[in-house]
Amino acid sequence: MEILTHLMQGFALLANWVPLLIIVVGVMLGILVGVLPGLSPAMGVALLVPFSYGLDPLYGLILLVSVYAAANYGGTITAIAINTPGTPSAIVSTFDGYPLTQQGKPGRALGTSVVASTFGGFFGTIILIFFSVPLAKAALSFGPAEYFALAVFGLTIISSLSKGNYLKAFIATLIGLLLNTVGMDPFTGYLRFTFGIPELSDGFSFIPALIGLFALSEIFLSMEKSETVKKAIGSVSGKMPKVKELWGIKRAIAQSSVIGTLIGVVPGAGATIAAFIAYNEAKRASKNKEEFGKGSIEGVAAAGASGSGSVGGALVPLLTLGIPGSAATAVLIGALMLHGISPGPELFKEKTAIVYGLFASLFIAYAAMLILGALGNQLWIKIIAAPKAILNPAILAIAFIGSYSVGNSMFDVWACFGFGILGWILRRYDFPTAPVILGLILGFLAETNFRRALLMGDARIFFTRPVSLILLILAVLSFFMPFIRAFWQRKKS
Amino acid sequence: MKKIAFLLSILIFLTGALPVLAEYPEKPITIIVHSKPGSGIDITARQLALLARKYIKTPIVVENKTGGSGAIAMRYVLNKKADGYTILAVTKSFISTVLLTSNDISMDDFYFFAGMVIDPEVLITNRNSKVKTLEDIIRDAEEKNGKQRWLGPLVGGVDHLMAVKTWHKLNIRGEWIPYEGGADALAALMGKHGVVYVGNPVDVKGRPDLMIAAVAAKQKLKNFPNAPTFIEKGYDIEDNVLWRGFALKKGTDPKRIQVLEKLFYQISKDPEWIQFIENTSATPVFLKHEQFTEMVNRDQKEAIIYLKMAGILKDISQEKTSTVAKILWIFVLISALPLGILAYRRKWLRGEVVIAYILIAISLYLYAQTFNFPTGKLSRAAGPASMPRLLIYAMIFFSAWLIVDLIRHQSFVNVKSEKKGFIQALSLVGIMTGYLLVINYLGYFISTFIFLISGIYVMSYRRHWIVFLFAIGFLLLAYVAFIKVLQVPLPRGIIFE
Repeated sequence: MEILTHLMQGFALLANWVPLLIIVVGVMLGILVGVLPGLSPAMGVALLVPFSYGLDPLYGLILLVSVYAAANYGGTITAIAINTPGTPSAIVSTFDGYPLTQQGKPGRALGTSVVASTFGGFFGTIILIFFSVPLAKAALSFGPAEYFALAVFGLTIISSLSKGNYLKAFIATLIGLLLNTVGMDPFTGYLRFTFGIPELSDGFSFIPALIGLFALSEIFLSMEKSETVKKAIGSVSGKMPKVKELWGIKRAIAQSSVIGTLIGVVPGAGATIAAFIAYNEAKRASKNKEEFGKGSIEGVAAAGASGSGSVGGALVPLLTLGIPGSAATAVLIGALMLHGISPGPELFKEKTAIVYGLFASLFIAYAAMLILGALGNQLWIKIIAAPKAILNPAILAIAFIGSYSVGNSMFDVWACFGFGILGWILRRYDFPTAPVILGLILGFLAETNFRRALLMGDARIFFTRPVSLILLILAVLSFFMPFIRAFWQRKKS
Repeated sequence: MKKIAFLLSILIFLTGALPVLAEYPEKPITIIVHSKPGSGIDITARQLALLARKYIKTPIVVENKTGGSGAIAMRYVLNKKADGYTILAVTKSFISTVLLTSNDISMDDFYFFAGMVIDPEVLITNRNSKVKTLEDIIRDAEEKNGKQRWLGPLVGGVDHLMAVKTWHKLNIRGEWIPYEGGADALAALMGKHGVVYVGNPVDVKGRPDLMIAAVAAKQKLKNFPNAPTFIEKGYDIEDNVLWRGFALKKGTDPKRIQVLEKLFYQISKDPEWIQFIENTSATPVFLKHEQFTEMVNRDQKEAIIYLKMAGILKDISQEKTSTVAKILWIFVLISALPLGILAYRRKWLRGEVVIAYILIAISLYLYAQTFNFPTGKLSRAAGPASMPRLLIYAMIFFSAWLIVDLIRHQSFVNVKSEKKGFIQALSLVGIMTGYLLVINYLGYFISTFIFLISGIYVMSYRRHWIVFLFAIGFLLLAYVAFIKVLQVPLPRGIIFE
């Protein structure tokens, strides 16, 4: 109960127009950072760090945290509206969100996304407040073997992303995994497959690949199919989903919030992996599996809830151990240090007011996000309704600026363009592009931890550690499930 | 205090510095940072830029040129004019970068004019584990006989070299387990996945589970009076520090260097700066060119010694490509032609088959490349070539399977393609290519304007006013959002520079 009194005091600290205004501004900036492809939540937070230094420590922190909290939701907006994930975790929102937009129902997708994101955010914050200490301890027991098993588990999702053609999905995944090995070897610093191009030394940046494979390929492909270019979609409806409909998918939202939060806690796993796994689990648990990938609001909800849930999760190891759980929290730790605050167990004792003020601000930030998001949706829908002839070149121009701002280099822009053409060719022949991204995300986690585990012991390590073993068994089951189900259905009929 | 300092600085500015400043600097000075926004050195540079406003009128801006462990940033500065407007934020890790990955850059290409921060290297252990003190480490290392796990970043980096040096001086052996960054390795130490972490005092701050087992400095640390130094324990490791400072391209006008030296000296004595650096448990200093260069040279010599001792330098220089893999690749290329003709006749030559075939050829080519990869003293299974090879085998297998499967079932995709749409899409690709090519010359705004308008016209949209207004609006938005608010340095164009 001590926690509740502290939390109340935290709210009292914020009951003033200055902090409230800071939160609202932070949420707006966060949504904007999310919407702009190329600006990840981490970069958004980093850009505001010098500014926050001029503020009172608590106010500076709530500004940064509000940006972080809202950025993941912001990313889902462009994913749904124009098939361009604004943040990496929003890739999953494109699976069902963009089909809904194409059907002229962007309001449904955007509305579901903001509600699910808010719920996920609330859930993550509650977990952060009440269970952070035991969860952080559990996360530390994750060694290389467990991380590798988690990556393998994540990779098995391709069997449900493949829409029937498994062979092509495997090949697409392998393309992603192989692309991921380009650049400096994380262990020895040796440059692999760079062919003397200095810009390749860090491999392909993730965001240009994302924009290229999703947004650019979509433009080229839809032009080739000559779907009415002058007008976007027959009629665009801004209708939000009904409360009853949202209540109907409560299970997907709750389940995805839990998955998002838990995976967010594990340092280095992050929002994107959380979103993929949550989507897969939502599909598996759903009664309407066949709707997934064609515009299921359950899929949209899973992506939104897990993305926001991971924010609270990532703050768990940051605050309790001083270990960042994501790229954005790595920046936050630097900001905390600037204010003379060292995150860790002592923080709760010494700076109780700041910690609980921060917790309270998260609740307010998510409430603000819900309101701002619901209002903003109508604006986004207007943009979707713009003629494709204007929208397409505009998306290309945004793709340019988004890829450029990742590292201020033209190379990333060329890479984005290249990925766009690659995506076009692949999708033309029915190779799905989502597994390429999955390979790019998980390749690093899988490779480094596989090798690290081998450095620490031998291959038995993957099967002798319980968490690793369970994850691997789950991975095998999850991988073969679609095949087994298909086999049963064939047998029945 | 701040106000007085500010007024004083204005006074100094008006009296002494005026004649010099009138010539230089007359436009913003850029500090190039090699890591992402939010990293330690980035925050240091940004703080410095902020404080510089007190002493100098022209702003200092920070720009991140990430990649290649600093090689990209170094190369960027070397490609600029030596006019004193581009400063490189340097750190000790650049030595390893230069030695290991960049044959075309040398530390001698730079003029190190201000060393601003030093941070001693320390060995960190977990308080809750059996191995806590330096004695524990030595005993445990002997028991484990080379299997003691030391955690930290990249093989060959500053921390790894510190570990190699420690093993050498303490006469023990350990296994270096590399992590992606300091934070991940710290988490692993807290989770007891290893025994020792090599880092800096800041890593212990706020983490009561961790403790400093030994400090590689002459004096004890101010904030950690209980942490022993190596010398106290009788080992000859006395001066291993991570440094951060600033450098210019060699050949910069000495007068300009003087201006910068003076400015950075003033900042180094600023109470706000000192407070800021001490918040990160590091020591604020000011090392002039001679001292700084001496330190860099000494560290470089030492790095070469320990890189060789770790077997890394020797490893990198080997180059060999398996002839078998090369022959295989050439065979695949040669077989493409007759196979292609055969396939065309039997109507197998579809997009998917071609894609799978190209993937096999690329895989084989990459396979040949993997024979160049050194192991960096890692075992074969954990070496740099292990994962790529595994993936290459899988890629060849699945691609071949796909080809067989496609031909057997004749299950090719019917590509929905409208001729008009296809041509439009191709023209958009062409325009985009042109756009990316001219942007370096015309700059972002002019080329984007042309691109938007031509792109929209290609898609047969003909409401001129809307197109024009839209393009202007878009550029205004880009200007405000990216240049003004987010400070993304969009290409200005060579002809305007």
